[in-house]
Amino acid sequence: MIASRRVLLAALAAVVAACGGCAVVQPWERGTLAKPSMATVQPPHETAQKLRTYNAKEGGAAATGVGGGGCGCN
Amino acid sequence: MEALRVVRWRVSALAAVGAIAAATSAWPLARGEAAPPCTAPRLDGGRTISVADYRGKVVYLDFWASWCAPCRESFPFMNGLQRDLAGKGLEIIAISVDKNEEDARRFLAGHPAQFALGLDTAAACPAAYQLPGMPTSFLIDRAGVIRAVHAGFRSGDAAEIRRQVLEALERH
Amino acid sequence: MALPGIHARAESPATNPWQLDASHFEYSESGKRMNVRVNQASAIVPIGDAFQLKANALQDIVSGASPQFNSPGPGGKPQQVLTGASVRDRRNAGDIGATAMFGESELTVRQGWSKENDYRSTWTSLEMRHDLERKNTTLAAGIAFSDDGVSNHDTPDEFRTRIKRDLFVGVTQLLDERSLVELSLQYSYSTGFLSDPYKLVFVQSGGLLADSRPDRRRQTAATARYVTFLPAIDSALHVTGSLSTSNWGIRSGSVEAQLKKDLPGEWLVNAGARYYTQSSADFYAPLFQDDPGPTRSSDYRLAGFGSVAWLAGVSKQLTPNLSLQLAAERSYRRVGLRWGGSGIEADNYIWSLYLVTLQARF
Repeated sequence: MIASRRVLLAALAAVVAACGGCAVVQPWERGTLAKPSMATVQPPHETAQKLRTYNAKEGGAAATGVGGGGCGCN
Repeated sequence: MEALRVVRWRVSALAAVGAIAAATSAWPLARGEAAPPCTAPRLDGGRTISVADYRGKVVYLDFWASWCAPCRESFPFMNGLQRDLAGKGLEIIAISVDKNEEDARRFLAGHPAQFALGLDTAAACPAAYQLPGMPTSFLIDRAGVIRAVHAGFRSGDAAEIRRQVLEALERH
Repeated sequence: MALPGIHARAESPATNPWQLDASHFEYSESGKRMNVRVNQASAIVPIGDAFQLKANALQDIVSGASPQFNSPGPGGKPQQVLTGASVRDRRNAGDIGATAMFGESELTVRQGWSKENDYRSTWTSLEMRHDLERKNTTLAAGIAFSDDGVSNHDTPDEFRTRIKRDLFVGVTQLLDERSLVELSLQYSYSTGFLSDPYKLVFVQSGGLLADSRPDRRRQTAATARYVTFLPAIDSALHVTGSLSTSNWGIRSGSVEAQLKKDLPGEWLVNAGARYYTQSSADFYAPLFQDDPGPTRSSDYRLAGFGSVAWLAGVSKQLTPNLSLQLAAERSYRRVGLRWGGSGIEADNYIWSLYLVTLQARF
C-alpha cells in the first residue's frame, strides 16, 4: 500500500523546503538546461499518444509531466 | 498532526526562499542608477570592449546567448537600430553569456551582427547588471545612467525601444 | 484515464509564435489483435503577446480482434476468446482552448469532444502554471471534468453514462544548472457505468455473464522525475518513477529511464526502457467457479501483469521553422512480472507503436 495522500503532500512541500540546499540558477546560467536533450516535455502529440496507449492498456494511472526547466527565456 | 508538519515545512520553505533572495541580492538594476562597469573580450576583433569607453554616446547594452530563442528576433532589430541611429551617437554592445565560444560563433553565423560583440564566459557582467531574465537589454544615456531595462524580447517591444533610444539621443 | 486536457507545457514560446503540428501514429499488437491508426493536427495561434488560441483534431481507426472472455482450454489452462477481426471503429475527436500569460503565470482552458459509434465524450479542463524564484521553481495545477456515454454495436443508441473528475498538482524544481526534479500528484474519481460493454466472464458452473465493475473508481498516483546532464557522455539522463493505487485494488508502479543526446546538425536522439507492473483488481479472475456476485471482470487490462518496453526516438530541425520527430516503443507484457493478484499466460502479448510528427514554428 503506498504512502497516504498527506505524506505525499508533505513530500512535495519538502522538495520546496529542501531547496535551502539547492543552488539558485541565474537566468544567464541556463545554457545546459536549454539544451533540447534536457527538455522535460516531448512534442504534444507524442505525449498524448503515449498517455492514451498506457491508459488503454494498463490499469494504473499513467505519469503526467509538469513542465518548467529549459531556458527560462521571457 | 500531519497538517501541522506540512505547515511547518511550508513556513521553512518560504524562509529558505527568503534567505536565498536576500543572499543573492536579487533586485534588478533600475532606471536612474549608474550603469556598472562591464568589460569583456571582443568577439569581433580587438581585445576587449568596455561600457565605460562609450561615455558621451548612448549605449544599448544587450545580453544574449546562443541558447536564447528570443535573441533570434532581437538581432535583426538591433541591426536596424545600428544602421539608422549610429550616426546620431548610438552604440550597440551585445555581450554573449555563452560558456562556450564555439556556441556563440555558431549563433552569429546564422544571425550576423553589425554591432559590437563581446563574450563574457565568466559571467561577471550579468552578475554586475543583475539580469532579471534572458535576454535583457539596458539603455544607458550619455552620462552613464540607466534609462531603461528590457527583459525578454517580443515583437511588440521594438517600437517602444526605438522610441526610448531616440529620446535618449535627444538629450546631451 | 489520464487528465484529458492536461499536457505538460512545452518550453514557453518566448515570442509567442504560431505552432502547427501534424502527426501519424500506428499501434499494433501481436497475434492478430488490435491495430490503431491515428492522424492528428493541431494549431496554436498567437493573439498579441499574452494570448493563444488552440485547436486540435484527430481521427483514429481501430481494427482487429480483442479478447472478449477467457474459457477453460485443454488441461484446464485458460485461453482467450477473441472477437471477430474487422474494421471496428472510426473515432473523431477535437478540442479547442485558450491560454492567457500574465506575469509569471499562465492559465489554460480547454473544451473537447470525442465521437465514435459506441462511445462519446465531452470534457473540460482548467490548468494553471506559475514560476517562482526566477523560474527556478514551477508550480502547476489542473482540474478536468469528463462526461461520457458508452453503448455497444448491437444497441448503438442506448448510452450509459459516466463522469470522471481529475485533479493534478505538481512542482518542478531546478537543483543546479544541469539538473532538475519534478514531483506530481494525480487524483481521479469516476462514477457511473465503468464496465466494458463488449467483455464477458466465463462461469464454470454455467454460462457467460456480462463484465460488471463497481460504479465508483478512485485512483491516486504520484510521479517523480529526475533529469540531469552528464557531461562525461554529453547526454541528458531522464528517470521517471510512478506509483498508483485505486479502490479497485489495482496497485501499479513504473520506472522509465532514457538517455537523450544532442548531435551536430540539430539532431536529437533518445533511447531508453520502461518497466511497469500492476496487481489485479479485487473483482478480477480469469475464470469464475460460481456466480461471482455483482462485480466481476476477466479483462486482461485489470489482471496482474508487468511489462518491459524499449523506446527510442530521433528528432531533426529541418529548417529554423520546421522539425521532424520519430518515436517508437515496443512493450512485452508478461504475467510473470505482476505485482500481485492473478493473470494468465494467454494474456501475454507484445505491442508496438510508432509516431511521426512534423512541427512548424514561425
